[in-house]
Amino acid sequence: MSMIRSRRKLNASLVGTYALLAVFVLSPLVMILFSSFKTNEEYMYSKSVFMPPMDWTYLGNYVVIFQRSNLLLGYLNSLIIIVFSTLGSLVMCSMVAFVLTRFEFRGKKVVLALYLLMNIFPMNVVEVFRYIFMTRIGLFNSLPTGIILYMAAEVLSIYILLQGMQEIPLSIDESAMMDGASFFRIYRTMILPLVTPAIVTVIILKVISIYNDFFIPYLYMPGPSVKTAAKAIFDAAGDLVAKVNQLSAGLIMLMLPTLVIYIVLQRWIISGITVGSVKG
Amino acid sequence: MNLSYREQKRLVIATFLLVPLVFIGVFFLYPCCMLFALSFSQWDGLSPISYVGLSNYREIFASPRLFGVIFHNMAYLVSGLLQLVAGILLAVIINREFRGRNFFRAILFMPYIINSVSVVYMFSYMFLPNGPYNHLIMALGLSKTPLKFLSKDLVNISLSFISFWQYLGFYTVIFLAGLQTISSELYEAASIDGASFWQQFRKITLPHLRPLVEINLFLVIAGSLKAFDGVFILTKGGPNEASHTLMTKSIDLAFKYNDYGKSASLSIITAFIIIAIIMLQRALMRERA
Repeated sequence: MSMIRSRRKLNASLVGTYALLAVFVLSPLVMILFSSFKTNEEYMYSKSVFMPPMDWTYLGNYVVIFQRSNLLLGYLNSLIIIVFSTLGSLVMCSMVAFVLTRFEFRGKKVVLALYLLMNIFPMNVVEVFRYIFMTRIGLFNSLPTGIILYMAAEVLSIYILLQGMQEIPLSIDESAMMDGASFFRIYRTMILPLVTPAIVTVIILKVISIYNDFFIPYLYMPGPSVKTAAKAIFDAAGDLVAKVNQLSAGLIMLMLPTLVIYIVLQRWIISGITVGSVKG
Repeated sequence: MNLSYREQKRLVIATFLLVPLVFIGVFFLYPCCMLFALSFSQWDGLSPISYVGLSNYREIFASPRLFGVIFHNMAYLVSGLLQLVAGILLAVIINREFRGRNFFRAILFMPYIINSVSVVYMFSYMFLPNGPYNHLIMALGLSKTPLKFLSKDLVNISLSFISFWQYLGFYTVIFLAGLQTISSELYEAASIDGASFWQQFRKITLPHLRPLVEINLFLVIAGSLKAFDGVFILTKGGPNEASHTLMTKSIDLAFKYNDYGKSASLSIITAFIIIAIIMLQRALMRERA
């Protein structure tokens, strides 16, 4: 009897913990969701910030933010950059992972060490000098600038692909070699299809990380015609700090694409990040 | 084309690694080397570069406005350590069967994938004098006047709170993955022997999580030294330099003051601290193994 009671008590305190945590995580999001549907008067004079908006269909703030920030162009630019650099980085990372898991060769440790170094080095500061170099070679203020920079360094993708390829026994390669298949053929028609889950994970994580980055667009792509979604909201936000309802609409629109991806694919995302971080 | 596997292997290694290595060389190693060289020079971005030896380093260590900003990074370290403790406890709590468990885990992890621009500006609203947090604090009677979250005294705590919110779920999920590798038989055997929850936590859970604690500890330390987003997006180092971190100070030195030499030295110092910590951690791990 007492055991059941103590278990009930435990459950009650657990439910309390969960509720508290959910409030902690969700409350800022709910707050800006509320304010994004409030008119100026409603926002200024409503008795409590915690009140939900009176009219959930009021879209005035969303209209304003799309006009002010040119967010549609931002989405389009982000999409173009994402498609090309994800594809390029996937090809490069899978080739590196293939070579590193399939072959023993001199310099292998050096390659691994390079990626490790890149992982721990504070990249934001290397940007300062990369910036000087990029402007000199004329790769500046264009979509290819972003595409190339996002392709350049990718440690997490390599780890995830390494992990996936390590699980494929070398005996598979050997039997294909008995049939006379070339290494390129083994890579393309056997190894790549076998690591499809890893590839999917890499694509999802890469899409999210490029979409969320604001520093490379800020530094290398200052022009209005090449702004990404994050840069568009970043530019507009400075003037809107006093107009919280309009700002909120922008923040919601900026986080919406990754939130949708997350809601649909959260299992892949969580397991991918866990594998990548623990190995890295 | 009939190449032997030996020749083929060489060809594949060379061609597969060529482009990625060129990318690393051009976009990472070359800027790193320039960074290192410039840290011993004075350069404003226009006039010729002049070699000044260690004077940048000396000046940085002597100036509280330069190396002193590392104390602002300490706020992020403290919040990161709290994150680890909270992450372990949460993981233990979540690591049991209950309805809605995956849903709860998904909510907890969600902040990690939200754009930092959105996150930081969202909190700038939460922190307003008449914003939600102040409403809450005053309703609960914790303070009679609204707190100034972004004032000189509180700004680093407030900004590190943003990272706490953003990354708590990340650490929890990593610990959770570790917990799921512990066999439940261990706990069953311990319960039969009469071990309390706390004893089980200390004797079974913590030892198993130890490698993950180490990895996460390193991520927290490195992360706190690299703290950047909130400062760069929201406060720009203010008010009156009170929120500058190593990274934002270094960026400012380069782009605001055109002092590329000092900017380079400051980031080399940061990088060396991080590398020293990673070496120490690896040495410790190897010693035990």
